[in-house]
Amino acid sequence: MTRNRPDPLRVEFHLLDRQIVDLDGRPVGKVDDVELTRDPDGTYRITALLVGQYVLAERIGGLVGRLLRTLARRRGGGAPEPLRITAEHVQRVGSDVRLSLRAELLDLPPSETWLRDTLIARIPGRAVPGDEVVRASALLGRPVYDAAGRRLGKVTDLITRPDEHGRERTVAVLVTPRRRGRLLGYEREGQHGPWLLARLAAFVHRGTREVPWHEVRWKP
Amino acid sequence: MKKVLAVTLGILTAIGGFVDIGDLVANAQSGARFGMRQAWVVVVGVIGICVFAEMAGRVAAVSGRPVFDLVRERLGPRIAMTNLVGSYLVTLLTLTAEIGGIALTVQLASGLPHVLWVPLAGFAVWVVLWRVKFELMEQLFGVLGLALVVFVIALIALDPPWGSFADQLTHPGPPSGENWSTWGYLAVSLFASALTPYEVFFFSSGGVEEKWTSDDLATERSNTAVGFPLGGLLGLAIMGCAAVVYEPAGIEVDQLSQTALPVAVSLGKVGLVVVMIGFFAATFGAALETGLSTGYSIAQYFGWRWGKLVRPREAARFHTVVLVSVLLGTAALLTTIDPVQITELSLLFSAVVLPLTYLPILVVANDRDYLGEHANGRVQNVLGVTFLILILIAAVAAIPLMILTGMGQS
Repeated sequence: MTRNRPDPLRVEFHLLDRQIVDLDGRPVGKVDDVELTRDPDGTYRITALLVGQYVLAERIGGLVGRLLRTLARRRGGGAPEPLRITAEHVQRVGSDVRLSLRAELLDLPPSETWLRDTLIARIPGRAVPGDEVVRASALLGRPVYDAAGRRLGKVTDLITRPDEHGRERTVAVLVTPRRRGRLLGYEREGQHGPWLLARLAAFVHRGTREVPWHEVRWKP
Repeated sequence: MKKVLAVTLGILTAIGGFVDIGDLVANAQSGARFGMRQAWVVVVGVIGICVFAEMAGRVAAVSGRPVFDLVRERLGPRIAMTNLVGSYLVTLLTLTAEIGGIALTVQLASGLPHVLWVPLAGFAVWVVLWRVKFELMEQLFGVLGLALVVFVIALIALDPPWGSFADQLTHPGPPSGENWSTWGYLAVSLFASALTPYEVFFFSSGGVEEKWTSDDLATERSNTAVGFPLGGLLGLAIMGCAAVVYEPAGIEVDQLSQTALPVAVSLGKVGLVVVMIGFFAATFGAALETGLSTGYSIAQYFGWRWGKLVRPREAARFHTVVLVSVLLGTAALLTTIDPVQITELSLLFSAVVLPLTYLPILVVANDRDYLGEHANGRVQNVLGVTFLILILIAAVAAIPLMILTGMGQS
């Protein structure tokens, strides 16, 4: 928070209740409160922005505040921790507060994930293919097939390359006809010795090959 | 050529989009009761919405901040919460009235009671919100809403007494036998029908979502500056038709079918069909806008991700609010509550909550940190402050007038 800020910065006017957006301009939340840390000389420095309905409810106070607080608590069970965005991640303070990171890095509030999983994602009509999030372990070990429906083997690794935006994206899978298991690294170029282990690994993992992503079918 | 088409389409959309159930009811009621004496209220209201929408659009385009975002930022969380509760309830009430309007229109066409059509209307509104693209949605209903031009044709075909119309325009006070409070009550409704908060939520949120730049700003400005007044003209035609058919006989308008009747009288069945297309498009289009606006206001207050262009699973809370609002509106109508009365209530409370939405926009439109060279000039501020005063008067007067007149009954 050095260059891209109003001068002087006012905590109440410039920070509180401003919209926080991520690197791409996507809404993250409002500055519901600001965390200040007291230094030995008696001054305070801004250490973090706090985002969360519970924090907001405490600021609003009164009947509405209590209601909001109850709503926030019921979902979280106890006073939920606010999302804490440390000051060094603030890139610019203007008509919005822009962060130097992407929204994916921040935890979504439980209300959003709960509504998404129990309601919105279940309504048909707007499911976008490829929209789902999976863990790598859910793909590793799965049998895969070619376009004709022939079994290629089991997935032992996913191979990625940077796409046009610099994001690592799968380009191929490594399949083995036999067992699953870590390959010790002998299938890569560059690891050769010792000879005995290399031969052994090559024997155990014989038939292991790379299949381009577009040729892979996950169902026969 | 493509640009000409885009501008034309934008203007057509603004004309059709301007008219909703509030205009259909308030203009006909005023015409039936006071002839053309309150025509100037429509004119003032239209100028007001142009001023407000222009400021909100400019702020959205230059600073990227939609209306309710700024409401919390400038009023603080507590007053903004009061505003949020009020604005949400009024928008919900308007949404309810629009869904009721769709059902009443289908009743007009089918003869079956409107309550039967309410669930279908509510479901249709939600499906369109869920599935149909923003631009297509806006343009389709806007352009179909142009069918309401039939009121202008009907008015001319009715051969109205232009002389007494002119006389009424120059003597805008209540006629003998009517009191000022009823006059004031209908004037506030009429003013609010032109200047509803949801129109501005929708307009500015759409601008942010479509990432307007200063270039788009010029287009949008001309769209509203041309489209809204032409939309107001349709409102005046509705008023004129009611003035010709109902005012001499002293008949009051309390049903949507009464708004349509003058067209049937002058143009017959074909006219009636066209009117029904217009009613359907106007109420359906406005139901979509109010439905989205319920989500916009809450999401922007809390800073959630929102919008029609965002994938639903990335804006689950926003889409949940929209869904729940449509359900609430539909459920309210199933209690067989009268949609026209809901409309009257929604107009009145629109007038009450408007100042708290208008003020932050007027303030931010003057903020040079946000708008730089695009900040309000002197003309814009004179207009802006004039309307702030008018909006405040309407807000303060609304509830006393409602109580005094028993919602316009006396």
